[in-house]
Amino acid sequence: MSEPARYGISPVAESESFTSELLAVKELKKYYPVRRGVVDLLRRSRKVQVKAIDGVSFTVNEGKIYGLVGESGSGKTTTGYTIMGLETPTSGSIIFQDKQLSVKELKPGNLSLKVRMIFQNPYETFDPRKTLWQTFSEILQVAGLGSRADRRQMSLDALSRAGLRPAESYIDRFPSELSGGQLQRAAIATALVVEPVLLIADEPVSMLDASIRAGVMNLLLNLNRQKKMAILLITHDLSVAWYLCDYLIVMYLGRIAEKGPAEQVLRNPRHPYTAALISASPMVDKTRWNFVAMGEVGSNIDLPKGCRFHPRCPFATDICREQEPTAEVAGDGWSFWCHHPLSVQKLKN
Amino acid sequence: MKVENLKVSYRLRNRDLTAVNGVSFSVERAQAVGLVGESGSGKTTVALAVLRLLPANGNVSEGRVTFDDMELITIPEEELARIRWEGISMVPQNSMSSLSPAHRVGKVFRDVLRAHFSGSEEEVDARISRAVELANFPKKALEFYPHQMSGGMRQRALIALSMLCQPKLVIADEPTTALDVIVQKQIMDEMKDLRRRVEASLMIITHDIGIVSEYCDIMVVMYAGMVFEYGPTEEVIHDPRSPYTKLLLKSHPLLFDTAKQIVEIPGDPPELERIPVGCPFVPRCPYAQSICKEAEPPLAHISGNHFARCHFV
Amino acid sequence: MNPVTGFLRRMSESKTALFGFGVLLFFAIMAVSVQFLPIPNPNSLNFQAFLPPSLAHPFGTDYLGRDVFSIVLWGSRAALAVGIISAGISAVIGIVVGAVAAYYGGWVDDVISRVVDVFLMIPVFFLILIVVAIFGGNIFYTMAIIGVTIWPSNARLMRAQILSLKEMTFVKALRSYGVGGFSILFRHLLPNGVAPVITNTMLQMGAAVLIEAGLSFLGLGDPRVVDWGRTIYLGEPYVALAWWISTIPGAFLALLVLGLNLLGDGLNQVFRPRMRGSK
Repeated sequence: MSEPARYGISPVAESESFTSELLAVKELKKYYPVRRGVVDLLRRSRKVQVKAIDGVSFTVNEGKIYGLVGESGSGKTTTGYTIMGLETPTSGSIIFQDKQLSVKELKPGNLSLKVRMIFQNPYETFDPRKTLWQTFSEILQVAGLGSRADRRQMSLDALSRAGLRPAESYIDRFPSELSGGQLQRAAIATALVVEPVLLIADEPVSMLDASIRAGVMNLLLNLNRQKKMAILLITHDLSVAWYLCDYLIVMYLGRIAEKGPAEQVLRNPRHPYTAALISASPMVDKTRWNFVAMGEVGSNIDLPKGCRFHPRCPFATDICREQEPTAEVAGDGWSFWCHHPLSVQKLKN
Repeated sequence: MKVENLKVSYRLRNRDLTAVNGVSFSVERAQAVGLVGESGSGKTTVALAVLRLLPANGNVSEGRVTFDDMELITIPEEELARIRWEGISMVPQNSMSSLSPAHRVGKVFRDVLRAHFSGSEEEVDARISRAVELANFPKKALEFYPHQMSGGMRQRALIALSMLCQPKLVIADEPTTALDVIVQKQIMDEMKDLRRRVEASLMIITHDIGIVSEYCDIMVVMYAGMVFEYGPTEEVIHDPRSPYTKLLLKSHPLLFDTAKQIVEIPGDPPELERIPVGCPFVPRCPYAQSICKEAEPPLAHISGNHFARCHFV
Repeated sequence: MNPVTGFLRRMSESKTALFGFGVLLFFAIMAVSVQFLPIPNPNSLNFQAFLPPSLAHPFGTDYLGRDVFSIVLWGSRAALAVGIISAGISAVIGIVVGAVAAYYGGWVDDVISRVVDVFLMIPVFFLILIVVAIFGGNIFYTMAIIGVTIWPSNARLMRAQILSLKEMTFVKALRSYGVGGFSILFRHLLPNGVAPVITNTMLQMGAAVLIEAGLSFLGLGDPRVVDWGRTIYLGEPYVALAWWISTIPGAFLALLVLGLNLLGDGLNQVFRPRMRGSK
């Protein structure tokens, strides 16, 4: 294992902390054991683990939108689940509103009044046998909010703030009676009803039809602007991140490759992986963004030695194969982990 | 290939639901045509109808599909069997379930080729080598089972498989939807390159305008079973004429677009059971007039090969 | 579509389920109303023996002069009671055991699954034979012993359902609201996954009725209860002389089991509408 100091909070992250810091994730790790058969036990083979997240640290400030971007296996969704308490981290800690939560305290329900999550698949987010009202009523009851009489009005308000108007005509419906876009709005309403300070949105538009994505994106943007609700947006789509996010956290195979202000990171990425993601996005200037990463995302079980991205990186040299890169500062609140960071010149040819 | 006024309906609970309503377009030699649409737009149904692979309750009620002067809707099953693979081949959507999990991919290649080609063992090998090379699929991976391959690799295997019999037209149904963005780009680039080398035509069916805009010569925008816009991709992207295409293009953010404004389209795409009278887009269209609620707009000619469906193009 | 109306509509479209439901309803009405019907006491020996079917005795009389029509009608109570109680015990045990195993997983699942395997290896009928032979032919023992031996198939079905359901997003959503595991399992997962168990329970009701009839036919029935199986058993020596004594209760037994099986199959289609198109 690497020394924790390397991936500890960078000086940049600390300088952020005297602004209104909401959440700090520190050295978060989540390993899943791989079930071993009798043969493996007899052979006493090495204990195999899937390293879904492997030392991730970042901070989330109040009222900002953060994008967690990366491909499958990057650990972006697991990170979201861990903050929400849906997964227990192997190690690391989370500081939420200046309260440190240990591994044991990260369980569902502990932050559920302050942090809420919406999921990628709106069609499966609701119990198919319960009406929206039954779901809302259970949410409020579990949260201990409102009297029996208030709860219906609170639910109606949340639905209508999420754009399902008139809310009365939606609240008694079953999930199967709503479209994908309406379900995702209803899912956002289930979060709004408890007025969270942080919303974790896991690929909120990727399963929606193209013509209804804009509505959901603008809804998130408005909630952020008007309610000052911080959003941790998990996405693979950089154009969505460009539109919504103030900050980006680019992850690759369980570790952060680059993080910083969204516009700066996207316009002038320092990590080759960020550049590769940009180059793979549709309708970007192909003369500037011609950077194709080789091969496919590696395995979280047999992680490459040295920099995790080196097998796919055209700039990889011996040092990349041997040593994990350490954090380097590229600007205010902007850091990256690469031995051979990109400069503007390198990208152009 | 030419599709003319194709109408397809599905029979459901004693009702006929029109999934494709008068679709016409053509795919010229060595051209790439992209069929874009949301769920329920009928894009996949068009592909299934062309290949005569509609489910039992689906039925082509009108229209013609001609391929190399052959009428695909009516020709007998035996002739069709020859056209599939050799004339038209398909790259399916889901790469995991499209390959037999119990066989090495190499065996699948051999079986497919044997069914269509009676050459010596060397010729078979040569053909497989060429197809595999075209699709950038490593030859040694022919010894693998599907589960031993990554998603990108499986998709390459399917592309190689579709090239085996040297078809004139390849139909790819959401070929890269299940893949990560970078691999998606790799595979689309490879397909583009492959198409140039073998001069085959390509029809891509996708929900992703980004893919069509970068890899297709002609773009067909479908909505509620109808063609809403048809034309050279550049022209459609830069000068969309039907309100649906216009709004759709503005509804998704573009990376590095400094305006950072996107347009919301109200409502949802219609369900097959409830397609509005008149123009199917009317409930969601900000430019709708009274005529739009009454008459179905024609596919109006804009210029050259560019058509758009609206009363007010 | 609303799940309730959707269920009712698909149900109304399935001829199999409707027929099975009709049969079950017919026997249920019979069992409930039999005491109000103007028919003779099934145990009274007041008639002449071996009377063939006639207007006075639609199904004839047996070798002791009891009215077979009356026996058949009263016998529906025992048959339904056996079916409902045995299958009910089996359903409750199966649902709880299967659901707990699947939801909690790990060693809980390992232990429960092995127990289920052990139960699946037991030849049910012979176990019941032994128990009845030891404790005597009490119908309540019979019901209980059938119930506690046939639940493993329900447990397996329930386990499989919960295993796939618990991976669905709505479970994550519920956990993120802070809803407890017990509540998620019993208030959300169970209602969504119970359909195949209900189907199987219908089939098990049929099986339980048959097992009990089989016991009675072997002479191990409860002598205090008016019972089709016993009637068939007692009428068997006289089949050549008086066919109606065994045949008619046998036909009713067959009809009830058929109805339950059809209802089970029909419900299976109703619960899984996607399977219909592929036929």
